[in-house]
Amino acid sequence: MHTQYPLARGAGGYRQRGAAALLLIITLVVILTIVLAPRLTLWQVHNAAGGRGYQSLIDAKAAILAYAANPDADLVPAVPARRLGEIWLTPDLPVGAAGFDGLGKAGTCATSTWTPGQVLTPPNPLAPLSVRCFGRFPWLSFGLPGPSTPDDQLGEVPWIFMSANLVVAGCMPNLNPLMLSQNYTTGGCATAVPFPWLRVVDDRGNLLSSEVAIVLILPGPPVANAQTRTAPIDHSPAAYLEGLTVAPGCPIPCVPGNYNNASYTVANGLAWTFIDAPSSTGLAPPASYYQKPFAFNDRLIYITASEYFEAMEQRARLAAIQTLSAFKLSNGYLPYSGDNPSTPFTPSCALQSRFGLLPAAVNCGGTLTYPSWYSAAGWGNYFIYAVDPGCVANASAPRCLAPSLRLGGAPQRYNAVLFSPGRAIRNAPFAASKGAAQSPLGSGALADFLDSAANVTGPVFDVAGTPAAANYNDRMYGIP
Amino acid sequence: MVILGLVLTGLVVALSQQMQQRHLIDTRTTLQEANEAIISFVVANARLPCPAVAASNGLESLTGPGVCTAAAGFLPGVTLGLPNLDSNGLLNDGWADGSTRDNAGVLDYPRAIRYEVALLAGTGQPNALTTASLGNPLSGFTRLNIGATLALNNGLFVCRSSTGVVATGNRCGSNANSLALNAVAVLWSQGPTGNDALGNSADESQNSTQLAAPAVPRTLVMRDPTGPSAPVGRFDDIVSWISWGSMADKLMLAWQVQ
Repeated sequence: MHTQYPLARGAGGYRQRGAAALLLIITLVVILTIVLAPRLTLWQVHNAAGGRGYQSLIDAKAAILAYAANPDADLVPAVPARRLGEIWLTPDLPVGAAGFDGLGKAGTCATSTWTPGQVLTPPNPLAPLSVRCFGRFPWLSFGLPGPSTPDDQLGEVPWIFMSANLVVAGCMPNLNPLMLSQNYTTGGCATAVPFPWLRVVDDRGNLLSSEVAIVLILPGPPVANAQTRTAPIDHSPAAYLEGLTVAPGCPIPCVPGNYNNASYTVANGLAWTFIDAPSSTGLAPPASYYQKPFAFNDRLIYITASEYFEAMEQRARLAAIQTLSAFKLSNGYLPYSGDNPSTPFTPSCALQSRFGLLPAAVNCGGTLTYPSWYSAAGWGNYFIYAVDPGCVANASAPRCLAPSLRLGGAPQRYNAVLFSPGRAIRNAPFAASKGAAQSPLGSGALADFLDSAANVTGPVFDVAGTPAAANYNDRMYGIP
Repeated sequence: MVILGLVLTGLVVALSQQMQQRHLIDTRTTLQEANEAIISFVVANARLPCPAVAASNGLESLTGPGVCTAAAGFLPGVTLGLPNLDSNGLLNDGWADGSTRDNAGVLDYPRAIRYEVALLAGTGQPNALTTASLGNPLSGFTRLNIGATLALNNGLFVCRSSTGVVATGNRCGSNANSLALNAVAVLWSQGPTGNDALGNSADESQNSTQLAAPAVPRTLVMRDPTGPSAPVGRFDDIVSWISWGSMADKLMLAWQVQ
């Protein structure tokens, strides 16, 4: 018992110390929770807003591609005969005394000397080369969510910049991948590429793409006091978008210089450049090669001309196959191809050819009725078509019952094959069929369109699904 | 004990904020998933589903092919094949707590996602959006004609405020008050207060009456949330919509309509 007293006293002391320590730990945990929980909530809100921001860019991209690919589903009855890929819902800019209204501006754009409130200009054949198509994404016309406040204080609505090539009407016979077989030269309607494509560079000024059709930039909240977003100052892109300077001595590879997403005064004929850089509002300090002060929070996605025309081609191809199917249903056979030989190729069936451009004339053994948006965008100058000799008007009946066209070693035989020739291959390694730069515009040679010897001299043509390569981008679609 | 009490009070407040944030994010995710499910349904069936009603157990409710029982009702979760439905076949928002009645005791499934579709009633293409392949193409039920019909203000409208809404033309009254013009479908959550009519603002009532007898049909309101003490009253609904453009594109890709 004697020896138990010290133990008892010791145990009591330990208990008190333990209880005190436990209370201290609980208090610390609770205090930390109280301190961190609001920050966590803010972090969640910030992350959620960031996620929604990217989602709004993605939604805007999807909406504009869907709109461009569906000229036969316009919601606005006043739209004139819109071509596939032509954008009539041009960016939202304040006109006259009005502010932003969320609506597209009916095929008109600003110029490089535009000031807020000035009238906008349609980039038609008479328009100056100074046309610049930019403004707030016309969210109301596209059916997407708009800003929380009319001035878009939080920068929730993307700004959109597009090459005027997508807006120009009244010239440009080819609004399709044939445009990509030519470089911008002097500009204007007399050329295949009336306006330059846009450029996008990375955070050190390195080129990401020099052939951009559309740039979408999410402004985000103001990053500097100069960004006042109250009318009428909010009409300027500089109230929403920023620039930065990549200083000399930046890590190689880099291209030092000033890059400004808000500037639209780029000279005629020069490519309009946008920069995709990390935000200055992150936790980490800005990169050392940025000139200080560095205030930038634009977030950017872009659509290259190739990507844009790929989306349009999907639609055009469906229309072409639908038209051929309707023709066969009506006539019991398929049309001849466009004339071959012929320089340049034409969609006429005067020669009753069986391998050339997709035909469009009335003397092809029946009438082919393509949608007006298809023909007006020049897709008839793009697709190549081969038809079986037993499935045309001058074949002996019964027609189309023993097709012979083959795609590779597959056993399936087709009555016709539709070729998507893809963009012209103009740099080495050249397409095997041509052995030099392809030049399909004005050409009368299949080798300027198709990339392999088998496709030019077939059948047998290349197998459907042949992978694309640096010197090959044909796609083949068999028609039963 | 006082210190501990203060500390615990702060903890409860902080955790409550966390819970609200979680509910909000869950609801937005739910609406996004519902939106995608409707688009998938359009691709598969070449039409929009009709809304479910209280007695349809999450199935779309029709009185005939393509003819909906009501323009506004509940999201037809069973028809759409959505997971995580309640025992009534309804998809609930992030504040789901099992309640099926509002504070007045009415059986109205306050946590269920609401859904309204443009019926194009009184036009040359009635029910075209809910009829496979937009109905009969030979009768002019094409995307071109549906677009033109919608453009004559026959679709659904989402406005910034119920103030200024009108029964004709742009139902929001002006472009400045508009968030969506002639949408083909709208879906919404009634927010943390569910169907609680007490303290509702006119904006929230505009939404909640869509399932009954709205003063201005085909018109909903979406704006930033406000509490009951705000001059404009309480509003906590979360509204999402589907535009004609996205539906028309999906119909084309599905290659089911002209």
